[in-house]
Amino acid sequence: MTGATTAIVLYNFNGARELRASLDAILGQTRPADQILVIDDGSIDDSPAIIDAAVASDPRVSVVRNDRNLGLPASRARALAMVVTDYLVWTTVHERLLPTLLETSLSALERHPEAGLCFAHVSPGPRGADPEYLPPPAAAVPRTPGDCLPVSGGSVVVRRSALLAVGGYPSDLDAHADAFAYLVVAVRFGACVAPERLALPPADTGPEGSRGTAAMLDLLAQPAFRDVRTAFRRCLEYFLPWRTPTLRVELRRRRLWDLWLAYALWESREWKRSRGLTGGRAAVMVAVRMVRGVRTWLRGRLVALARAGREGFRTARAAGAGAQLMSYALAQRLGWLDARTGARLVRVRGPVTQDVVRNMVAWQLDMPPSGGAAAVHGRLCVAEDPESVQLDRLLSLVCLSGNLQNFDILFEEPCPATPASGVDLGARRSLALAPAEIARLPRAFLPHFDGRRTATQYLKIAHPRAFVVALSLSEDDDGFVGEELGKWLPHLHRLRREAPGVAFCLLNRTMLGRDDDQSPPADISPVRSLGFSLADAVALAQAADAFIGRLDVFGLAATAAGRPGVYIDEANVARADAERAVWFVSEASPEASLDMLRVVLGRRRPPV
Amino acid sequence: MVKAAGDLACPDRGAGGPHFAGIIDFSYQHYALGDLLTSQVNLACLALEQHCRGLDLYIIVDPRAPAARAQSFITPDNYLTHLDNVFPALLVSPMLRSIRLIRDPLTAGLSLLSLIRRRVPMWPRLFDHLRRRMTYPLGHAIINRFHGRHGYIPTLGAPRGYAGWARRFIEQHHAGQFLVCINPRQSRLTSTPAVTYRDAPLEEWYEFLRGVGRRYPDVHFFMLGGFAEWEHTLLRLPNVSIPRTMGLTLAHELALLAASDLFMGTSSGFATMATFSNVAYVITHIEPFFAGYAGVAVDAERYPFAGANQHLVWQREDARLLLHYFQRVHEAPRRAAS
Repeated sequence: MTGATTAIVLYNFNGARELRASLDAILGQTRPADQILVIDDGSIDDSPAIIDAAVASDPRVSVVRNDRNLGLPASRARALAMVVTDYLVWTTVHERLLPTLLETSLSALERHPEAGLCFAHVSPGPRGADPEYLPPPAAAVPRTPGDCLPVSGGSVVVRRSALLAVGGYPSDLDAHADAFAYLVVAVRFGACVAPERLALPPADTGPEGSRGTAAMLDLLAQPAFRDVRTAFRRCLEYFLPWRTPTLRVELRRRRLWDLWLAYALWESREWKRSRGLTGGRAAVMVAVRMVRGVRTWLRGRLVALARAGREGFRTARAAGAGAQLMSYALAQRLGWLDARTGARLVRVRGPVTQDVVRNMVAWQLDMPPSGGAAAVHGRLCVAEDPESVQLDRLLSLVCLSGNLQNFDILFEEPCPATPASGVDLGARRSLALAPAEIARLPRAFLPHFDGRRTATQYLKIAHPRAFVVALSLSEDDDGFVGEELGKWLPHLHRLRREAPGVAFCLLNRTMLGRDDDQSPPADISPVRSLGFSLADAVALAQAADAFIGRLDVFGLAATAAGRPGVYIDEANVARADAERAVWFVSEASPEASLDMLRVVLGRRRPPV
Repeated sequence: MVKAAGDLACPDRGAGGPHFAGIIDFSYQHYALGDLLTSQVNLACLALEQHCRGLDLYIIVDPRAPAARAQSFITPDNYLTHLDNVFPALLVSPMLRSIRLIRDPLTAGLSLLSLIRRRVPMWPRLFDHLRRRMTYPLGHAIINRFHGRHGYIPTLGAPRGYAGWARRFIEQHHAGQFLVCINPRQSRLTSTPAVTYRDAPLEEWYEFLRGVGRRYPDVHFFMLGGFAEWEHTLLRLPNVSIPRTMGLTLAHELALLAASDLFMGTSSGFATMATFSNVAYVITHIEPFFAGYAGVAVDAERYPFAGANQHLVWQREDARLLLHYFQRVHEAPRRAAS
């Protein structure tokens, strides 16, 4: 045969680092290939760009891309169907073809067209000698003792018709399907052996897994592969790619015991020879290995048992959860569950101001005590201008709420239109704070033990023995206390000079004292700058001795805890509870507020 | 007005296709910033592949069993703190359409039932959810696959409602400065220290911060992380601000990160935010075992989906290495211009 055509199929998966060198080696063959097919098995690295560049630069190069990683067997099958040449080379991106592979192999194959393949083997003759033809079944006969010419996959040029005649690459054999298929071709059609290196193998392909080994041995057990099995028995080096698990798998197949015995003896001889062991020493080492093997096997069994138990437990739990879901479905269908959940809607538009945060608590005062059976389902609609709504404080209040077991935050749905179904959190709202409402307040503030711990530890360390007054002032839209603090500071300073045992803890965020031109406030402790979250600050409002400032979320928390003090709320009617030393006022200057606080101080007699 | 919980909890099948449902059930998923952020990118990838326009998050917390076994320090008495801490991290997905916090087991069951009935695509899959099974750490397999198919990934942004705040804050206090968010991990300073060998060498960071302060007066740093996770030394450095000392929260920190010029820090939750955003970053001290989960080789310089100024550093950082990478990013625009 003259003028035989050849294809080189290059398999790549995420091999961008080596891909360019592989392609250069393929394109640099002294006898050019007629077809170069690159199989890209769903790479996610830079491989596609490199392959595209190669396709654009050389018309012989074409590419087949798998949408996802299909693995070697599927890719091999796909490639084989697309090759149209007489001969074919299968290589991966990790192997490197040497420039004379095609020239040397094809010259031999053209002289011996009956040969199924040509492969390189370095040991038989001097480098540069002519390739030798071994007719079937001579390819499997040892040329010299211990030299069986195992076919190495990387340097094989195989006749496509021969490969198809033996059934192609067996799909069940993962990594070494090519080696097995080439052995079958060599046994049945004969092979040319080139006595020089024609390809560089990858650094380490690793042994075939036990699944692949089992599949290979299954093939050998079939009558159709009897000739190949004979070749394996004569030349046990053929097992090298499947070496590690071979013995174990063979042992489980009664039909393969002859192979097992031959292979075990060969392995033990090889092992003794490679280590230079005497018979007795080898026996001791084998015994030690067996003990270790049994121990490993037992450990493996125990681990597998534990894993199976865990999986079983999970599956049982899944079955239980599934059954529970089905019971819910049934109960719902029968109409038993409809009335269990009450939906409450609120809307927020624009910035989350201090009033909005306060109203998030105040809104819950309308909710009847649930008694534990029903779950109140709150919904917050943020459909309008969601980019201006900072939800962190509202989310904290949702977490703290004992009323809102379930809560939805909706961004893109249109809010329900009926006003009766929803409350606008931004609307001004006056709080009557009648005793019944005050009694409902604690449900909006679940016990927050971490906050309580933070607050009490802070008070013990920073203000031991002090009469602690929680202070909350007007905030801007971002939640920072603004100019009002400047108005309050001189009055707070005066009061602290009168009563040095009083400590003011500011519960709002503040930037005061951060810039170089401002001195940090000496008469207040800005706890939010000391790592207090909103929940911690709520806990501090409830733990402090008194409260002074706006009836915001902190004011409501202090009210819920029955703290004495001055609560300022423009929307409310002024009233006082002298018994409990509580003043609700609609408007009060810092001076007037602190005058009222002095009454509380006089009653409580703070230390001086 | 009274409605069935199932009706309340389910998304509509809109004109653009169904909305994707993300189930975050803390009885087996983790209260962890990084995992929650990765989950949201996973969800966005899956939603886009199913041609969904929006994302509905179902946050399920059973107060009686509020945390997975791996986070046994979270109990019915303190789960509120942890929930409150991570809640803002749920606002960072641009596809977010709703968040549903469900603390009532019956409502959780009915919501799930409604999703099944409407055949709403969901993650984790129903069977995995019923088995309460999630493998940690969350890898990048879904994200890498999406990137391989489409050439991009859905990125995370500032938490909804906070981008404007970050813009205003920077204009008001740091106009014209090159802003760098940092997060040297310091688990050993927290109340629940874990895998402390991953903590950053603080002295090296201080040296780096002082060195940058001397050479680059236009650079300002924001130290991100919990109030416990830094030492008082940082308060004395004039080129460092700490958002938590202004009473700001995780939401503000994530918004600052999204608006900054560079993120530098140890592999952690904030590093995850940078990973899935368009911000330039240098992430240090990545654990080699994570390479397999991320689908990259150990020592890879960047993730498959990363941009040019997004660097991975696998070794433990020191001041010189930090300065090297800082200069590389800081001078990149200048180099490009020249």
